[in-house]
Amino acid sequence: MIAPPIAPLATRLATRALAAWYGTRQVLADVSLDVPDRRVTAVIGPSGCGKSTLLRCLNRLHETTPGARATGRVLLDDVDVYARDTDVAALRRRVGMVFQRPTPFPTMSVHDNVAAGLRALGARRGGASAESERVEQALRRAALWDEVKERLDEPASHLAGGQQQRLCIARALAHEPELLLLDEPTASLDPLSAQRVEELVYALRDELAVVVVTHNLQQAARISDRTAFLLDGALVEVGDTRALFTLPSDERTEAFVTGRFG
Amino acid sequence: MSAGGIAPSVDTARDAARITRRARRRRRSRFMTAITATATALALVPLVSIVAYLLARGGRALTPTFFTHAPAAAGQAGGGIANAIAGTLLLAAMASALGVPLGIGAGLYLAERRGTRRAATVRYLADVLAGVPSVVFGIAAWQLLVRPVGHFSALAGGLALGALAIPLVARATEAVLHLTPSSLTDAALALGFPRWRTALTVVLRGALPGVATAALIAVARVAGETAPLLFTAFGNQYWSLRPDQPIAALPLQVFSYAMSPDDGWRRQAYGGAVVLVALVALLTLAGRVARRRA
Amino acid sequence: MTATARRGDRVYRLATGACAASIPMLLAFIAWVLATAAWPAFARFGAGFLTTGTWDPVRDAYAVGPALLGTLVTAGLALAVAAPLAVAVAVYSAELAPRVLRTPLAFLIDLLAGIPSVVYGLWGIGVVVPALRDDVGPFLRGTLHLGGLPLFAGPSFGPSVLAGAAVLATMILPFVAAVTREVLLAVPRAQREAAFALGATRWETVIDVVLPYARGGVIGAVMLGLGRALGETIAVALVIGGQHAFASSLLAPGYTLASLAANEFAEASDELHVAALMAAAATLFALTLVVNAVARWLVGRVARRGEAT
Repeated sequence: MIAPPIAPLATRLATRALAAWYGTRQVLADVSLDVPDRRVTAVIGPSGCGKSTLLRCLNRLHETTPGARATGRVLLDDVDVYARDTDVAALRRRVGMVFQRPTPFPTMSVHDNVAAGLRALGARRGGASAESERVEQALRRAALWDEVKERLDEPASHLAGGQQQRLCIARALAHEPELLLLDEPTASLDPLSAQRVEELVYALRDELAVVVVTHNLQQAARISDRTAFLLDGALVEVGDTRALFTLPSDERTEAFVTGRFG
Repeated sequence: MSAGGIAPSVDTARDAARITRRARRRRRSRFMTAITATATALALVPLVSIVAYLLARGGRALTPTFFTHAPAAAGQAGGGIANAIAGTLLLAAMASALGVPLGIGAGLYLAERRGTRRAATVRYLADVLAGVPSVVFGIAAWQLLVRPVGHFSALAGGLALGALAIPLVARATEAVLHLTPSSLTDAALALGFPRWRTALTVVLRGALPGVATAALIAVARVAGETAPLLFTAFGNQYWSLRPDQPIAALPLQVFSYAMSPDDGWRRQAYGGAVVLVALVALLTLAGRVARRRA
Repeated sequence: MTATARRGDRVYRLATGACAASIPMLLAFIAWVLATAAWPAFARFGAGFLTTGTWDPVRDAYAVGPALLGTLVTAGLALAVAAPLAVAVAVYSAELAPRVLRTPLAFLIDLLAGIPSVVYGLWGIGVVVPALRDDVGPFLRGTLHLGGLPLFAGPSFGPSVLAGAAVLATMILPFVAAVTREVLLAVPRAQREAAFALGATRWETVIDVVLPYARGGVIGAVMLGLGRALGETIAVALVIGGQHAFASSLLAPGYTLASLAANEFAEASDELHVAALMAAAATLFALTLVVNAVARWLVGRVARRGEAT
């Protein structure tokens, strides 16, 4: 799928000289990346290059690991989320995240899982019926509604793997984030489920900014508009996906995408 | 194995050696299995001996009266351990009130701050505290809660047992919470859950059965301790559930009856011991079932 | 963070922190209580309190030398016998026994480990002491002619240091076995499967793969048993005979720090007597503290070195 000729894209999120450490071990160095709005940006690179860490820095989840820290700036709509008095919980509601392994809350029903994000602060805004509407809307966006509409009160753990992952996507979409982060979302899914998730991600690009970390190069080529290549914690190259895969500027990128390493 | 050809005898010899070695190793494995099995059988002999002995000496005491009445006067027939059972339950309740909340809170702390220096120190100290003999707890409680007041009390006993339970509950809770995959905590945090909500509604809720079992087992363990109660609750011949007075407790009663000259009381000591063993058996069984379900 | 959420987090952090702080505070507290209560005795008797043996309330003379020795001897003997057996039992029930037997065995071991000490004490007086007096004593003196040795000299009336050690051994055997069993079960299945795939027999897997991997935990379990043996009060009090004397024979009655405190507490009348008992408790506390601290440190070091990952 070729993206239409691109007018200057609005940047939803930008990092400036982002660096991250686990204790004394540095895993990200001087990463400056622009994430355009309403487009899918893929982040690729060999194992251990810092892709997941980069993602976790964007919603400030990285620092929840004991001993982990990050420096630099991450600008969401031109406001630095690493500023001193940032409301971290609010940030995380503007930025949705989906993880590699589906992580529905096992003790909650399908409905409650999706609503969990809405209830994160305790207050049920607008009452139960408004909540049910938002749950349905999120499940529709995640292309899961038809499969679970009869099973909303069942435990989420009863769903199959692919459905669980789409449930997690619905949960992340429920509070209508501006940016969606996906960390290898199809890595633990069977091919059919993986395909459905890919279709879903691709469809979301009209609605919000999406960043997908993946080690599946074909997947990156299929669903993303822009691709960033990370190597040993540094951003080697970033650009239009088609261009990066067919005519990379950096020889390391070329080595990676042609399969010579990683 | 060469089919005809050069020097077949060498290959056969090597194979023969390998087969003998293998047989020898298997024999050794079977032998060591037998040895350890014997050790196990030996270890189980006391169980048979204890149960047989207790039933022989105290079986006759296990009448319905035994479970429903307080002790009779010396020399009189009848009477029982009902007050001791009630006392143990009250002490266990008091111990839980102190030990379970503090223990779970400490367990939450340890599970969340895993890897930090402070958590490692607390964990280390919890293990050290758990190794302090229960008699020491009792004596410290006596100095603190009994001596100044001038009399023994159930409350002192409950507090001593509760303090005993704290490190046990904390470590057991941490172990259960540690089983929660970090991705679950991450998912909650990524949704904007504040830390306290994550801990209470996601982590604790999922781990609740395991934590409840762990707490129950810890309290049951401390409830069976006699030594700390010698210095605090002291024991009581009569029905008393007042926290500011001495109170009967099952292990205490068994202990004091066992050394009494009265035949009837001694028999009741053994009866009480049978009840204790039965309770432990029930709790162990419940613990296994709960663990299988988790 | 909204005001309520931030406050909630702060409350949560304070609450769990306070709960965690209760542990070191409790330790310090107990230490302080014992130290202050025991001070009069230590001030009066000095180091001799721990090394000499005269315990005479009438003459205001107190010393816990025999009790301290008794604690160390009974616990040491019990551990020497029980530890190897316990590891063998754990190995059998976790690795070598037929699968059908494993759960019942685990249940029985846990049951034994959970039986309160007062029950072991009763059994001790009723079964162990008579056995030692009527069977083992004469056996040692008669058949084995060991009566000449100071270790087994003298008549055996029943309650004795040996009885204490025997009951202790019976108690800590299932305890150490249960903990060791958990440690062995925690070894990842992949390790065993790798060994099997290489053609190892069950025993070889245990001795070459599982035990080395679990080495730290096994040592820890044994040290836990030692700690338990040092502090065991009731069972020992019922079978050891309560004698304040340095006897060289195992068949003579003796004392341990814990059973001393338990036995004499009720009759302790004057301040000095109480202080002396407090000092005995403080000594026990210090002893178990040192043993546990060293054990935990050892386990930590071995675990860090020996374990994969």
